[in-house]
Amino acid sequence: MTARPAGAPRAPLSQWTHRLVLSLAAALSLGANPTGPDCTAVVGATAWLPDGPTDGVTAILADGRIAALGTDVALGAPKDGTVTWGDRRCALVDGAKKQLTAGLIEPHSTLGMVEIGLEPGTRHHDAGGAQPVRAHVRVIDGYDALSAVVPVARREGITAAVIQPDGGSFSGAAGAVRLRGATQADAVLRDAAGKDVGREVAVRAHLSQGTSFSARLAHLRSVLDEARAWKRDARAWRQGAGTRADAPPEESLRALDAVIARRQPLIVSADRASDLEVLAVFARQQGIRLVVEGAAEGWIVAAQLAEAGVAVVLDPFVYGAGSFDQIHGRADNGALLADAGVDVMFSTRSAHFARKLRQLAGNAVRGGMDAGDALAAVTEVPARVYGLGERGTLTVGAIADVVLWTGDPLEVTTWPERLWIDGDAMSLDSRQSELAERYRELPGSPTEPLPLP
Amino acid sequence: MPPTRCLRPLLGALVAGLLVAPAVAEETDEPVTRASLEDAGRSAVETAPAPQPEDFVLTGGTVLTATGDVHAPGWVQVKDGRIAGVGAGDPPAGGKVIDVSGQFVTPGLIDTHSHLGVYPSPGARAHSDGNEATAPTTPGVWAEHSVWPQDPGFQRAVEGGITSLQILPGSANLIGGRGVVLRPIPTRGSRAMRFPDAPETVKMACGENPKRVYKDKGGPSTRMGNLRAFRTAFTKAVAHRDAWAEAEAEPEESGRKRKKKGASKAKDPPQRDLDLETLVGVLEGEILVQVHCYRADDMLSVLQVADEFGFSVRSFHHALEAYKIRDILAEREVSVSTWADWWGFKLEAYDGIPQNAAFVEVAGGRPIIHSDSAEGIQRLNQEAAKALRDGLRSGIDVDEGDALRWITINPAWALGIHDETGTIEVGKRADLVVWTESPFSVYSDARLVFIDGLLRHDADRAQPPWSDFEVGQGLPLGKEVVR
Repeated sequence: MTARPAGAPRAPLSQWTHRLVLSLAAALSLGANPTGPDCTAVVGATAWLPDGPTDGVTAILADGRIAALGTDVALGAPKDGTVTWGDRRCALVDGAKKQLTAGLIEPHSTLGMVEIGLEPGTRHHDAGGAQPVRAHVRVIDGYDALSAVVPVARREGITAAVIQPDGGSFSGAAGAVRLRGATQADAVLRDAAGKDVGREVAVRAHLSQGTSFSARLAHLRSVLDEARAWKRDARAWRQGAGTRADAPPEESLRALDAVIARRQPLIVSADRASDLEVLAVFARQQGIRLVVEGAAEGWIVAAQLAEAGVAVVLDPFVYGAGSFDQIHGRADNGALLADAGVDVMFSTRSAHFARKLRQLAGNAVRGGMDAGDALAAVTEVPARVYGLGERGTLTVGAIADVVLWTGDPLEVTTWPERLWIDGDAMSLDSRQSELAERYRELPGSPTEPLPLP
Repeated sequence: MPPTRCLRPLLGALVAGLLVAPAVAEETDEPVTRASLEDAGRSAVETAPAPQPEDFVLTGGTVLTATGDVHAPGWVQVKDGRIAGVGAGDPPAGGKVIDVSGQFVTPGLIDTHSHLGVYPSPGARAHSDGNEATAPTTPGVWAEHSVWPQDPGFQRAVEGGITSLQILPGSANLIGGRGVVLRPIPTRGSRAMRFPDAPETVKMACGENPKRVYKDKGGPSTRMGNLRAFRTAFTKAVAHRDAWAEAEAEPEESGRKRKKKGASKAKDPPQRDLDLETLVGVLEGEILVQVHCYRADDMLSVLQVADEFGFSVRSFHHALEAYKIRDILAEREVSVSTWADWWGFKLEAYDGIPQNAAFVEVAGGRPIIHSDSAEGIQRLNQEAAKALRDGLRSGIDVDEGDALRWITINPAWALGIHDETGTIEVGKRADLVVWTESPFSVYSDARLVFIDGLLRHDADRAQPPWSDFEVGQGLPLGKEVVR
C-alpha cells in the first residue's frame, strides 16, 4: 500500500477518497516539475515496421512525432529512468520482449456516439426523420469526448476511430477522432501540420430505399446524379428538380460534391458477391471511391473489387450461413482479398465492442491472412483510405500514436503496457478498471457512514 | 434422468409398458395412465442405431485435464467411448494410436447458453423460434421443441471444440420455458441430440427484457411487476404440488372414486398443467434453474424468491454484476455464466467489467464463460483466454487451469452433467478436443473433436456439411459445368 501523502487527513477514508487524494497529489507534483523529460525512448522492442516485425528497435517519441526509429538509434547512458538522445533527455521505456505497433484505428465505429445501446437518449449517430438524404449531417458534431466508452477502447490499444453515422440512404458525414481529450476540438483528428482532417472523412450511405438491391442502387445513383446537376447549375436545380416535395436538401447535394470529386469515399454495406460485383461497376461508372462494409462474399469477386479500387471493411467473425447474404463467407476472405490487392480493413462496427478489434485481426491470421496485412487492416489501411494524417505506421516523421504490447498484439492473451497519442503517454484506466478497483475488496461501493466532523 | 417427483403418478404408464396413452383419460376402471415426454427416453423416435466407437489412444500431446493436472507429454486412452486412462509418459497398449505430438488435448468445451437451433442460421423471420412471447410466464414450453437440428451452427460449434451445450428459450419472458442439454451431433430430430440423462432445466429472466416486452401487452412493466409475476407463478406451483401430494397419498382410490359424488375432493388429482409441472419440478429440485440476470440487486431479488419458495438457482446467466455479490454467490453455490467482455448494450449491462469471471473465481465461486451467440460459440476458448487475460492484467490471481474450467467442468456442473463430462478423468465420456496449439491462443484451431469417443470433426479432412441447408448452395462456384 502506498504511504499516506503528507498532509492527508488521518481520519479513515474510503478507498475511493484515498485514491483521489493520491492522484491529486500526483497531478500537483507533475506540474511542479517542468524540467522533466520531454521525449520518450522505447528501447529494444520488437517493432512492426512497414517491412515486418524487427527485433531490437529503439523508437524516439518527441514533439508528437516518431522522431527516430531503428536498430541503430544512438543513445547516451541511462540514468534515473531517463536516457539522452542527442542533447535531449528522454524518459526511458524498456521494450525488451515487448512489441511495438502503431496505435490501432477502428475504421467503422460508433465510439462516443452511443453510451447505452438500448437507450435512445444516449444514441446520437442516426439523425432520423423522413428525409433519407442527409449527407450534410456531420456525425462528429454529436461526438462525446467524455464518453465512458472511449477509454475502454483505448485500454485495448485503439488510438483513433472513424465514427459512422447511420440511418437513411445518405446518413451523413463520417468523422474521425483520436481517443484523447475532453473536448471535440481536442479529439477531432488533425494531421502533423495541425490541419483538421477528422471532421468529415467520408459519406456514409445505405442501400435502404426500395425493395430490391437494384432499386436501392438506383436511388443512390439518382441522388449522385442530382448532386452533379446541382453543382452544374444550382439555380436551375432549384427551379426544376429542387421543387419536388421529396427533393434532397440542397446542403446534402453540396456535401456529396466531396464524393463526386473523389475527395472522400462513399461507404455502403453489402455482403452478397453479386451485390459487390455490381457495386464495383457502380464505383467505376460513377468515378467515385467506394468503401464496402461487410463484403462477406468478397473473395468471389476480389479481382473486380481490386480493379475498381473498392476498399472493404470486414468482420472476420462472419461464418457463412449466418444470413442468406453471407452463405459463401469463409475464414480466409481477408487473406484472399488482400492477396488480390484490395484494401482490407477490419471493424467491430460498434462502440462498446471496439476493444475486440485486434481479436478480429488475430482470427483473420488464423484464417490464413499474413500477420502484417492483418495489422495494417487496423492501422495503415484505414489511415490511408480515410486520409487521417500521418498515422497508422511506425515510420520516422509519423504522428506518435504508438502502443507497446506485452507480446504479440494480435493475441488474445496480451495487452497494451504503454500507449502514446501524439507522443503523450496516455492513461490506460477506464470506468471499467475503476469499477474493478472499487470492487477489489467487497462491499465495494461505500457503505460506511462518514466520520463525525 | 430419474423421473421427477411431480411426475411420479405417471410412472404407472412405464411399468405397464404403455409408452403412448391418450392425452385425455377415458372413463375406465383402469388406473389413469399417461406417458410423459420426460420419461419417453432420448431415442424414442430415433431409429438409427447408435454408432460404435473405436478404441484409441491420443499420445504425445500436452494433456490439460481440467482437474488441475497437466501431462506434458501425456496420453489419453479411450475405450467404448469412455476415458479408460490418462497420464504422462508412455501410453498403455490398446486401441489405435493417434499421435498428437506438439498439440494440446482438453476436455470438450461446454456452453451453458446457446440459442442454436431455436434462432438458427440463416437468420430469417421464419427462424424466430426462441421466445414464446405471448405471455410473461410460459414454463410449459420446451426449447427442445423449437430446435432445428439442421442449424449449420451446430457443426460450426463442434469445429470450435464444443461437445455439449444448453439450448435455452430467449429472455423475453420471466419464465421462458425449459432449456435442454444437447450434443451437437447430426440427427434427424432434436430428441436424439439430448445429452443422455441430463437433468431438465428451466430458463428464467429478470430485469429489463420482460418488462420491456410486456409493457404494452398487459405487463409486467416494472421490476416490481416482474417480482410479483415470479411469486404468483410459484404460489400456484406450490398449490399444484400440494394437490398432487394429497392425491398421491391414496393412489388406489383416486382413480376409481373420482366420478363418485361425495368423494373427497382433496383426493382428486388436479388437471395436468404443463406450466405448473415445470415449476413443481423446480420446487422439487429436479429441474435446474438458469436465470438471465444482469444487475447485482436483480440477482439478489431472484434469490429472495428462491428462498421464499425453497428452490435453488443453479446458474445466473450474463450476470455482469456478479463481481459485486461474488461472496454471496460463492456461499450459495450459484454458478456465474458470463461473457469475457460484453457490456453497455443496455443500461443493466453498463457496469459489466472484463474482470468479472476472475473476481468470481478468486472468491471461491464457479465462473463460466458462455456464448449466447452463434459466433461466440465458435471460439469459446478465445473468450476464456480474454477473461483470463483481463484478470491477470488487473493482478487477480487466476491461471490457465482456472480458465480451462470456465469452459469445461464449471459449465458441466451448471448443467448437472459434471459426473459424465467436463474433465479428462477415467470413466467419463470421451469428450475431447485436440488443439493445434495452446487453446488460449487466438491462432489455435480445434483439429480433432470427439464426442462419446466418436470423431465428429477433423480439420485435415473435409466432410460433407451436416446441414441440408448447406447442400448445393452456389453450384456455379464449382459444379456447374458438367464434363
